[in-house]
Amino acid sequence: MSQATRQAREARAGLLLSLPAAAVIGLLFVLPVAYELVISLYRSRVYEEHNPFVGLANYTWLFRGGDLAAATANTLIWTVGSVVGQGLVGILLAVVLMQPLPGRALFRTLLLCTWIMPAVVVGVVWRWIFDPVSGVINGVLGWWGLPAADWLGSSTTAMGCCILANVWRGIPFWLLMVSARLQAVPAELYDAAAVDGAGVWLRFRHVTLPQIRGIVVLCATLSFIWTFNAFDMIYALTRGGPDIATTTVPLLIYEAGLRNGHLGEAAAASILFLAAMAAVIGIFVRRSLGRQEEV
Amino acid sequence: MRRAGRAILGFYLPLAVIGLPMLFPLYWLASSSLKTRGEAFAVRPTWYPHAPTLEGYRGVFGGTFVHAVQTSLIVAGVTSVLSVAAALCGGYALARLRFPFRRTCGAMLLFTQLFPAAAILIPLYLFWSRIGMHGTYTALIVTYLAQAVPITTWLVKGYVETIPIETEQQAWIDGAGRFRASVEVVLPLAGPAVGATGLLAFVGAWNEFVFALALTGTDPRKKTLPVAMVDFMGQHGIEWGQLMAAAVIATVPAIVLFFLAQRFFVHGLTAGAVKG
Repeated sequence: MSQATRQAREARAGLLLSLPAAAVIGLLFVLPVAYELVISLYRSRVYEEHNPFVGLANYTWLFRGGDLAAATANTLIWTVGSVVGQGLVGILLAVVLMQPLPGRALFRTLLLCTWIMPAVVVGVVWRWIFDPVSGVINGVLGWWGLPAADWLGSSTTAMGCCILANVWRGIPFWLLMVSARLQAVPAELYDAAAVDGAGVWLRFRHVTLPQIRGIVVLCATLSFIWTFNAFDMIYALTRGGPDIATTTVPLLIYEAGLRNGHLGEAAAASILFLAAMAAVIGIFVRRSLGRQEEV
Repeated sequence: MRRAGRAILGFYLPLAVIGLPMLFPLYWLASSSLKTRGEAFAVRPTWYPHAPTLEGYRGVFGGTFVHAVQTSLIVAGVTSVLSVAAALCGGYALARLRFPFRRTCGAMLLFTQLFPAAAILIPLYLFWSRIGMHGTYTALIVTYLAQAVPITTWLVKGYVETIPIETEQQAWIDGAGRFRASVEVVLPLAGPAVGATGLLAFVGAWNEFVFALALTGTDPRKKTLPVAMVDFMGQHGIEWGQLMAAAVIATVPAIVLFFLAQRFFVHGLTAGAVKG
């Protein structure tokens, strides 16, 4: 068999074998986005017979009403609050758990469970914890004679509670990633810093932090994207309410499209959402590629 | 003495301050699933079940939840098997064969993991409705392949790459055809790891919510467990004890399967992360 025919056969086999995976990506990602672009240009209501072409009317409608702006603001608060909270507690716990003391493995394992369990379950448990009548938080407050509150039912506290629950869920991921990186930090660095008389904070600031910088950026990017896209937790906790106090863009798409039947508008919101997402990923890829070239 | 003092200050104190509240929801979930109806509804919550009962679990298996468990098992099981089959082909090809668009394929697999599911709800909902298949298991399974196939393919590719190509080449020289060589050499070596990716695909589909919410119809018998749980909360006077029992049933398979699969996968995940 000549070299050329062998290469051609290999290429054919490769294409054939990757066909199922490629089909899944094509049929379930590329095609739906294309279809969605079309839907977003038509007036498409579940309860109407005709779907006339309306150009960009769905998009202008989104910008005229205040809901998309409010949902975008909510998405940013939810995402930034969650990522910062998860990161701070996760890094702190990873540093604390560096010390080989009994109980560490069990604690890590239990914590990991919170990351694996269905997000809906996390939402349901926290919804009960925040429950105004039989929730633990109000129970404890009542103990100390403090007034009860409707944590998820009031627009001033609902988003904070959602973020708190999501921080809880996301910490194990940070803990796992940062711990793995910390284990690779050479012990000599700490010894040298200790000889120089550096205390706990200085050692963290000048030895640990520069070493984990790369992994922190990676974790922050991943959890930013995941939180930005998240749906399950908020839906289980508040369903976007009260009113639209915790409605992020994914919830807005669901509520507008599948609950209220405004499919065209929801499709337009999805397209804008995808564009925002693509921009975020684009910036990250650019920056990380740029850094690789420097090295 | 000083050492012990430092251990308490530097380890157990922060662990108690952050760690115990962190474990509390887990404890709350597990312990409350054993509470009686009245106790779970009490205005003054009790810290542990005073009269432990399996009432909640009996309620789960007596009601619509049992159908939900069944639906979740079917959907997650079929998704897992199909995605492993696709991943074996695609993962092997990406790891071993040179063909056009190979790198593009690999990059696409990773990008799908960042893709917002909510953003394609509308077209998928319309598509399955218009062909009259909205609310069927098939619609849900095919949609779940979108989230399962890319990650399983990527993991299988990683495992195949760890198998030295020389073992395969040896088999070709011994006269086996390329296809037979791959099947006979790679499959037994990668078998356990491939099984592990199947478990992960199962957990992913088992936990999934937004597609299940959009693509299951009104038939309560065809809802997956997460959707059934949220539905249950929408009713008046939530029976928290029973809901927690359902939550435990939703959680246990995910955790058990994850830990079975973990030794093949967390290492790979963090190894890649540390390198980058």
